[in-house]
Amino acid sequence: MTGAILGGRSSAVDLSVVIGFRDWGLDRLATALQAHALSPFYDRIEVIVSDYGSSDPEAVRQVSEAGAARYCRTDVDGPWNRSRALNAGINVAAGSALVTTDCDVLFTPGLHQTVHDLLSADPATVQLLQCRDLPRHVPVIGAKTFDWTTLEQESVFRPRWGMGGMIAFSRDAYELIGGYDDRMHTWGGEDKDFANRLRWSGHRTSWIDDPALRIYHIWHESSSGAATASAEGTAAIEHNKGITLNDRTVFRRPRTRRSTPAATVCVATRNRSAYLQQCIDSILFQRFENFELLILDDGSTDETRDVVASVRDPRIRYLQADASEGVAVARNRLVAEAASPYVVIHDDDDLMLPWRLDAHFSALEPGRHGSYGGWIDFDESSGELSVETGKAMESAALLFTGKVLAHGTLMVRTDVLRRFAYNQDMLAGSDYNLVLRMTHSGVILAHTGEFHILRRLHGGNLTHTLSDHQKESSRRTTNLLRRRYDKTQEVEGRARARALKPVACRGQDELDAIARPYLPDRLTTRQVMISGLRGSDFEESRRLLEEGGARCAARLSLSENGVLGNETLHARGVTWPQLIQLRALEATLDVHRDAGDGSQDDDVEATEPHADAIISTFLQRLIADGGTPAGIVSLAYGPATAELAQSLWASDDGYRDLALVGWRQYAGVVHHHHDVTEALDRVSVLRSTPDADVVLVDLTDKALRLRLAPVGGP
Amino acid sequence: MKFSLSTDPTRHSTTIVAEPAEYDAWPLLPTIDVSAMPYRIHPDRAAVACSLIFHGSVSGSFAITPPCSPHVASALRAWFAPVDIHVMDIEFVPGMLAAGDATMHVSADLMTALPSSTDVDAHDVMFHVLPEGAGFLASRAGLWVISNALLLARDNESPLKRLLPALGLAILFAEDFLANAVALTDVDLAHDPETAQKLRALLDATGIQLRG
Repeated sequence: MTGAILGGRSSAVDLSVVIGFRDWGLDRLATALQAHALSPFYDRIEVIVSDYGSSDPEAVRQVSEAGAARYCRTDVDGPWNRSRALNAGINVAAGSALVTTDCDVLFTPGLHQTVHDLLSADPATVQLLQCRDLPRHVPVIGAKTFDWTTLEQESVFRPRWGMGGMIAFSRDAYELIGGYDDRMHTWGGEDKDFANRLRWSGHRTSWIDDPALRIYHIWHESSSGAATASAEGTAAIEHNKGITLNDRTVFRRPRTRRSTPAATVCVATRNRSAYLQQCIDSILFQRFENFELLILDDGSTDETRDVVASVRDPRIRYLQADASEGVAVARNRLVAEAASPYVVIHDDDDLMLPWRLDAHFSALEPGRHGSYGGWIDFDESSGELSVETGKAMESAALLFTGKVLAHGTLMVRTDVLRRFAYNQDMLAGSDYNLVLRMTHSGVILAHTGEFHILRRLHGGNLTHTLSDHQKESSRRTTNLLRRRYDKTQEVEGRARARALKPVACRGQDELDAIARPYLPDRLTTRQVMISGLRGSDFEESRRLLEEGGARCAARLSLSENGVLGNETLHARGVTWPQLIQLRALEATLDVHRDAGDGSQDDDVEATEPHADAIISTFLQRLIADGGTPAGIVSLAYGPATAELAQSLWASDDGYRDLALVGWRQYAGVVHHHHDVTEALDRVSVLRSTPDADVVLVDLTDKALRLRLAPVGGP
Repeated sequence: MKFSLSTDPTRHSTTIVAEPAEYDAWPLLPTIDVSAMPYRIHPDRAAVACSLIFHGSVSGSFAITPPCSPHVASALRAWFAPVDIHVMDIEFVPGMLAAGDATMHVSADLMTALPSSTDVDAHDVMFHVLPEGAGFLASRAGLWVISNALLLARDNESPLKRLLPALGLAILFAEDFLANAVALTDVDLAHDPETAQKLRALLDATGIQLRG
């Protein structure tokens, strides 16, 4: 998918109108743009036509620019996806007030300014308008001016259903929920889903009801009717309906990087440069990439600045305090500086598990202000692991029992954190104090059911160095809030706290498998399966890994059309810096602890059966499809392939030139070669055979780097 | 939005729950706790109190039991405009509002000191809300309560709007203190005249004047 932006006006913009478009009729588009252009507010508006894969983009661009609209193009080959079209348009929009609409909707001239003024007066609203449908016989296509009185008289009121037609909201509101849900496609549901999530996040809907302010829908054949004409369309509509009805998550969005981050990871640090690099690496390795990393250096005198400067990632922002003012002041400054709607708290000596941000957002449902998860302690010296899953959030439990929630596993709405703020008078314990104050005020935090961090246990933990302060502040906080409970309530609260069981976290019974691969390099060895690598990325990744000391092997795949190719790169001895480099690729990474002895043979042993199965399947399919190939040279094989070859040779049925060349012998293989040169000679012979249908499966080294090389014909 | 108020005589506390309906925003905090309990709450004042505390979340239906008077229902529609609301149940049998002649001075500044006797008229009372802590303080001079209602104020609102949740709580206690007027400490009504005008009309429907 690619995007481009062309044309448009460059004056200051107060309101952006975004129209999603794909081959919906250039005449309708031109007419709608003409209606927008009649707004007296037009010099403060930009209209963006977001073209989502029209067959003639140049024509759409010309119509857009003729209508003084900006043109935004997304090249796609999938079904119509209005969510993606609107998200793409909003991504390039300049206005702080946003309107999404369609190319078949006419706005009355005063509407734009009213919408803007209403949103300015109360940004926490979603402005909606009931659409009126124009009948077929009312001629508006191609009009330069509109008789609004006639349109009002001729049009038919459409009930408040689906929220379609026009929806207006602030940019902040849009960012808070992550935009339109782009899993929805083909037809229907996205506006309703979007408006629901805006309500869940604190924005009330307001229907504009003024006869002078209308939107009119230009008549055309029913889009829903067209969509339901196919089985795929019907399925898509049901799919969209399922999301609208069943998905209660507030935040949706591709997790890829965008100009506006969805979350701010806040790290306050002081003189911990030895740990900071690993901390940063673990954050940058998140699967969810749409975040900023805000690091506040609270007056460090070590190499902290150099460590941060050495990391090249545009998502990092570094703030420096001249002198240490304490962790509470530092954290408040981080929260104040956050440029996203959600703050993720992370300690500078901890490591973030790669699914953490995903888990946070998946747990955000209506009424929840944030989420937290379990934590795994690791001993800085030995790497020994111990686990705390945390407990369900209950304010009394936080007061009367421990191990409910670790502050460093939290994500909270930025506006909520700003309301409470860390208590700057406290030398220690301001984190516990904050959590207790929030939860006793009604802030709801949800457990994600996932582990979020690897918490490093070392001699310099604040809990150790400020132990007395920590205990004192904890007691003061607890004693204050206990006064909210009378005797009976305290007894009941303590009973509830005791009854709370630890939350089950994914992987808690297989810590070595889920946690150990992400420990610092000196405490673990890891292997990575890298799949989905495209083109040159495969070789580039392999080079990068091998230069860094990792050992690599390839696994094969056989596509539907019989093409043999590289499927997965299997790397062992991968380091944290290499993980970060791999994350930058558009590939799927599967990280495991490496329990083996690290020998090259282990790689091959692990890979070979897979290769053997693939090659034998490949040969069978080739023979079945091609009749009587004169020769096949496979430079890699195993027992299954050898067995197949022997049966072919034994049949004496035209496969005598089938040659297998392998680097490893198998018992029972009668006809094989061990030498690559000999195999290549064999290929030369086969090449000279006019009718040969020859395929070379080329094993160029012991690491099973295979590729398909058709060599048939003269 | 559907509102319900309950008091707990054991704890001397009040709880207000807002349950969002089809058009409402989900309030940042749907349950508001107040560390004190009013002894008498007129339905009209309860409705107005809820409309002030949750002023930024209401759209569409407005339901509260017991129902408010037609006069207050009209005032609520005007208060929420241009957002359209519909009061779901109305008590058409006329009822008396409590009399009083005191002014409640409403504040929500954490640093506001206890008033000295020279600060206010002898008939006046202070109503002060703190966002955190425990317990309440009641004296002839006024009432100091703890409530999370203050957290409903939004950063980007005018000082007057930010004080509306505290004012809503004050309205709940006005009858106990025989107050027929409120004054907002440290808020200049002239800075947000449109809201001030609408607020004056809303409070007037419950027999309370807005001073300043």
